[in-house]
Amino acid sequence: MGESTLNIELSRRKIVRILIISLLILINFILESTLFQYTRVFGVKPDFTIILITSYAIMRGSAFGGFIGLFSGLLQDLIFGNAMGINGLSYMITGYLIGQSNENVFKDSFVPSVIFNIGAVFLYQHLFFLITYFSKTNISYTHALLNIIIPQSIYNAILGPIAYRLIYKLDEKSFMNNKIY
Amino acid sequence: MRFLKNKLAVITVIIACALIITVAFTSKGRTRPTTFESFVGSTITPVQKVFFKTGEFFKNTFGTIFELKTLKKDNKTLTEEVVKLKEENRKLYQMALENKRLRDLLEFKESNPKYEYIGASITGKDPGNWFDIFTIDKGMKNDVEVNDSVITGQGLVGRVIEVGSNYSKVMAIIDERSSISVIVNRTRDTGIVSGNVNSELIAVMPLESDIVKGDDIITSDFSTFYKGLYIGKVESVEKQERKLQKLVKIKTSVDFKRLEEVFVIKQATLAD
Repeated sequence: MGESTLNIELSRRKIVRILIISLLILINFILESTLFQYTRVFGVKPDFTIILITSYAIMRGSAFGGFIGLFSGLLQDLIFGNAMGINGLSYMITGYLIGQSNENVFKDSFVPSVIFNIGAVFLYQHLFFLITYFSKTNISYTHALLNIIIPQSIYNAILGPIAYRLIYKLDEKSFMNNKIY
Repeated sequence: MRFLKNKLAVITVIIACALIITVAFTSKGRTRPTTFESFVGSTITPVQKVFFKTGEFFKNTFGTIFELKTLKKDNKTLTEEVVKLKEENRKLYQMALENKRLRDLLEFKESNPKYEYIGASITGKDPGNWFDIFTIDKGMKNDVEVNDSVITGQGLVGRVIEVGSNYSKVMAIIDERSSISVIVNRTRDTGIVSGNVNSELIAVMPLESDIVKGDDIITSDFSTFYKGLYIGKVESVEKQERKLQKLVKIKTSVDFKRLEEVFVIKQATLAD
């Protein structure tokens, strides 16, 4: 295979990858606001956006984590939020920071997914709490920690690895991969 | 590689700063979405609607299977209740006739404001765990306006906070940020009701107010909602001597977990 054909093939796969990830973001948002509402246990819903972000951040690093975080967050702000960017900012930073670990973790183990899901929920919820705190919404911190953050992180840690497996399989497909054999 | 990483960090920081600015500018609350938002909202709402309906379908189907056991018993009690209610209804009808007759006699003006009802289905709920906001499938095209009250047959649901062309955002009364001026139907004590993160309704009443478990709570004249909308029953009362107030927990008449269809109401003609 010549150098130029290789480059064309690589850039084609890059575009396909971005399209598929955008589609994943959109589908995830639609499902989160409709069908996934039925996954609430004692009023707490697992954060599927976090699962998507951490999965890609583990596999592909900060750029992907941040990108997915930013766009899923902005979509949520657009449709349900009041101030533009609260979710976008929190999810983006979460994705970026989790993605920093990318080079140092085993990608085919489920353990990083569990740990980073817990970490990501804590990170995201605290960023979110911090931003809403400044916009004059008085929520008691301990209350939020016990009733939202901790239950949600456990819930996410259980579902995260399962979803990670599926996303990992999807990412291994030849059209998503940038390895050419 | 080092350079690429730094570039990414720089981009992230720039976007973060930009977002902080947008948060600061938009946090005052908007009532009209921008053109772009409106476009995204209008395209996504129909798709959400399909998925929401699918979810409802599955819930209802499985619900029916589990309810088969109790169906017979329910049927019996319901039949008994129908008989009782029919009897009651007949009495009430008589009373209504009598009321009308007496009213005519006294030439009383009709003081009940007449509402205009706009039926709407819910298309999506806020994915987050903090707030209770949902979207409905009616918007500007159907004359929905900001601050219109949203109700169901059971009682008050919330109020419209943002209107797009074919969708609107509704803030539920159990949202952390919602607060309503209310009145206790029996004693006419007024208070303020607001939601909390746990999706419960908490009312703050003056210490001397006489309120007990089971009292009916309705909206008062001072609220953004129309007066006299039913909210729910008092579940528990906690006395806070030091703060000179009573903390009242209210059980909403509307089941917020099972909302499907709602009505947006607006006053057709102002009373007087």
